[in-house]
Amino acid sequence: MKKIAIRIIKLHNVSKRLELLCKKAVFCNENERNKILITASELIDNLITHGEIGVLGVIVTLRIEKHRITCGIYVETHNAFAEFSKRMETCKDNPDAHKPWYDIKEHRWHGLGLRMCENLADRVRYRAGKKLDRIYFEIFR
Amino acid sequence: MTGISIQVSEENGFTILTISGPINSYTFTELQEKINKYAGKVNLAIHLGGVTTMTSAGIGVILAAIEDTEAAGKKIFIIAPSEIARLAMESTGFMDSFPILNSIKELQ
Amino acid sequence: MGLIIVSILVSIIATLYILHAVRYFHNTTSFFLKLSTVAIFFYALLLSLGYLIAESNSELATTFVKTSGALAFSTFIFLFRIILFFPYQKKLTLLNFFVLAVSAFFVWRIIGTNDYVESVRRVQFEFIRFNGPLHNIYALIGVGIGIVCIIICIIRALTISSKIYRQQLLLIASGYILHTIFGYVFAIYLPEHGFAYLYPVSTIPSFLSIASIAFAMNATRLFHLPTVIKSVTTRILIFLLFGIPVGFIVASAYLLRLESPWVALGVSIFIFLPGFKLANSFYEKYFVTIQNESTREALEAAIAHINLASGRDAVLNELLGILQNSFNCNAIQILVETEQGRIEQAWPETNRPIILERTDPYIELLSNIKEKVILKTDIISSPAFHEYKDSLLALFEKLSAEAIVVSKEGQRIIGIFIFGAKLSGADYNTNDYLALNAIQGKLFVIAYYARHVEREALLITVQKQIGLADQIIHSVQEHIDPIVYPGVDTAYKTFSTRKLGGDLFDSVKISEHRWFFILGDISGKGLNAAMSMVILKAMIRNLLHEESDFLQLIAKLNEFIKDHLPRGTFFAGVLGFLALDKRSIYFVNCGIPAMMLRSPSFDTVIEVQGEGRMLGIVRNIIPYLKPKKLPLPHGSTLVITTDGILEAANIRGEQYGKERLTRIINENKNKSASEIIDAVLASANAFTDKKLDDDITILAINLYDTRSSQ
Repeated sequence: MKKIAIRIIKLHNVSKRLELLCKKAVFCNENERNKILITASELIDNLITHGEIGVLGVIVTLRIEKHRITCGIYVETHNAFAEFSKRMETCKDNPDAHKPWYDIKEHRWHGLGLRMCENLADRVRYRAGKKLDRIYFEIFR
Repeated sequence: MTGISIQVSEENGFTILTISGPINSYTFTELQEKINKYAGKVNLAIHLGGVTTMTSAGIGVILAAIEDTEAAGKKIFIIAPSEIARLAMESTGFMDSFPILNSIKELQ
Repeated sequence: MGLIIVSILVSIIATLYILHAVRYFHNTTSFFLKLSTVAIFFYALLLSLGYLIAESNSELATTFVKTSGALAFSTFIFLFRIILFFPYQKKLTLLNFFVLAVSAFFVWRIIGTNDYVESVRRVQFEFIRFNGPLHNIYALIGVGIGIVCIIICIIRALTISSKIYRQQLLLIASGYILHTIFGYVFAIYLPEHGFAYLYPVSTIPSFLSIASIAFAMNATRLFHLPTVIKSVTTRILIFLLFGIPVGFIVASAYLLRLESPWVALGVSIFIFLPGFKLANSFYEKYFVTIQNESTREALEAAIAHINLASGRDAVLNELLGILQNSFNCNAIQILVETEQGRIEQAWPETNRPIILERTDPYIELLSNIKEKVILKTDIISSPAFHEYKDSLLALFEKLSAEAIVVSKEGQRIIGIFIFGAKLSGADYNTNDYLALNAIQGKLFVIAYYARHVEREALLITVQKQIGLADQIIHSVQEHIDPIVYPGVDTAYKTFSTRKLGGDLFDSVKISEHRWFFILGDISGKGLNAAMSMVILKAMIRNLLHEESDFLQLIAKLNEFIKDHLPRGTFFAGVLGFLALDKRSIYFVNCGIPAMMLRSPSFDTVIEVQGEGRMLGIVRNIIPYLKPKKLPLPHGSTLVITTDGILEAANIRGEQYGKERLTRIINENKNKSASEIIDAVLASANAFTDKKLDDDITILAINLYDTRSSQ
């Protein structure tokens, strides 16, 4: 199977559904699967914390080509994402543009997830759309 | 029922938190509560062998616990992280910050 | 792989749907139901197509989905219109226009604007629908209409007295309820639980509600549980055997669409049509008791071989067995006219027989209907019965009948054969109709027989075979309209030397001055010939009501003999009209051997019958019929006779012949008609030494010279 997709409607299902997606991805090796699982979890985590899952839910697709695996994440449009994606486009593939930093007051890290995704995936793209926002990430083989 | 399970035990003067299941934005508050209870008060060992996935939310909690514990002069270790947990920690670029042991036996 | 599954599902639905829709469409008379059937078909088609192309062509897919939504919505309105007055189909043109206008409005709103759906997308299996601002309102209206329909049905079902209508209403209500449940399961629940590709299957439920209404409108009998189970099993079997393979092939063809969409379409149609035909013929072969030509003949033969000498109850019982076996139905009742003139259940015997009084409006109704074989399905769908539809359906319900055969003598009903539901659950179809039509002549005989024959117990002393037939013949002969006209003297004699005969004389008064008459001989001897005579006689009276053209009447009689009487039955005789005011006779010789006219102007006897063809040999007799007009001058005598007298032979083997007949007529020129007949018979008797051994029928007509008295 070269193409698979799942849809996540409920929050508490996210990890289970992503695990299912990876289990179906027999064309990947363990390392690739782990990368996909973490990256997708991370991205969806952010979509949920910064936006909302909506009635549509989140659709995650996986496609394998000879030299890369592409994972797509589709979610109903929300405004914050449009701004975010614009910002990400301007500094694309430049990890130094946004370093993670620790907020002592809030007692938490910022930008950690973004950095994780950039390190795990070979390329991440954020696309805002009229109806659907999309995030693609690729893992080269 | 969030899918995460945290068990607390003691060995060699360490409080051991054995975590299994996914650590993400949906489950991390449960982890955060447990860790905050011990961080900086006791010697802490966090066993990540059963972790099925880990996002920055979980890593943030663990990094914070490391800082707090070390600031208080206590010891903290990450024990036997699962492949996926190790990958997640590596991906932050701060692998050096995580004091990792391969097994509980190494605790002193 | 995913698309294969989807395509298979879609194709299977389409296959299943069309298999049924065609059938229902055919049987349905309601305009709105037809409209709904078409709408639902395109709804399913467009929704599935929309789903399939939503990934590559979002815009077109959106249009498809919008259109399918609009179709579904108008279907709701149409069904509401049907149910509003169901089970009565009122013709309210204004309301119909209103309904069409309302649905047209919604169609325009749904397709023309983004109110209902803004756009659709699909990411692999995941179908995404961006609902418009009014989506929920439309959905609410749709659901609301559905609920109102269910409530209407249930309330009406509880208050209506007719069982069959109650069943129909409850059927519709349950169809709607199932629609809702299935719709939720396939469109919402399963896709949310990891079976996203089942979404296109959600069009099935709409089919359910349409089918339930169509079925309810066509289901005109109360359910019989084994029948229902059998019929459901049959459908599942056909679905498994044909729906799935055909669907699979069609789906595989769909995969070719990338190469060429036309190839895919062509292959699909190429596979689908034969698949459809195969399924149909399979169904007919194994699940419909087929009444094809050979089984029809076997059935006719079986009825013809019933031994009428075995007594009334045995005859009826045997007939019942044959019919039940042949039509595979749950019950058959035979109703026969009693001496009191009632139509009463004669067989099977029961404590609560069906009894219809002569004055019963149903009897009147059946008398007025020309058709002798009436199928329930025809009442519903055939315009021929439109006028009587409701009362006929009520009668059928009262009798639990699916088909009836009415035996009539002229307009008088002498028997009714009631056929119950088929065990297979199938309706009576064209083949059954043909079979019933083929045997209706024979059923008539049995009804006639049952009517005229007393109970078996009373018959023990009667010499059976001869006794029965004789009774029948006499009773038939009593029905002749005597030819009584000023200045005309007629007489006839018909008898069979062995008390059994196929000779036939009948006259029917058509108007004040006119009589129709038939005289002749039916081939064969004994009971069979006698039976054929009885049937023919009844048939003629029926035909006289239906057919005003003389030659057509003979042609029909010819066809009837050829098609309905036992093989090898022929009629040799003459059919004619006596126009006594014009002193003429119009006739067609159909193989009568002797028509002798003695005219005063020649003072001699001449043969006038000319050439003729027997009936029952060729199918198209018209070219051989030569109608003749013969003036009957004042003082003339016409004598017509069958071959019984002419061929009567003496000990030496000589035949009586026409010369002797001519001589006797000449010798008795001033005698009355009955005296002439007596003289002929006496002469023939003397010639054969009182050993006349054939059926004999002779008719004499004297036209007196009335001019002198004027």
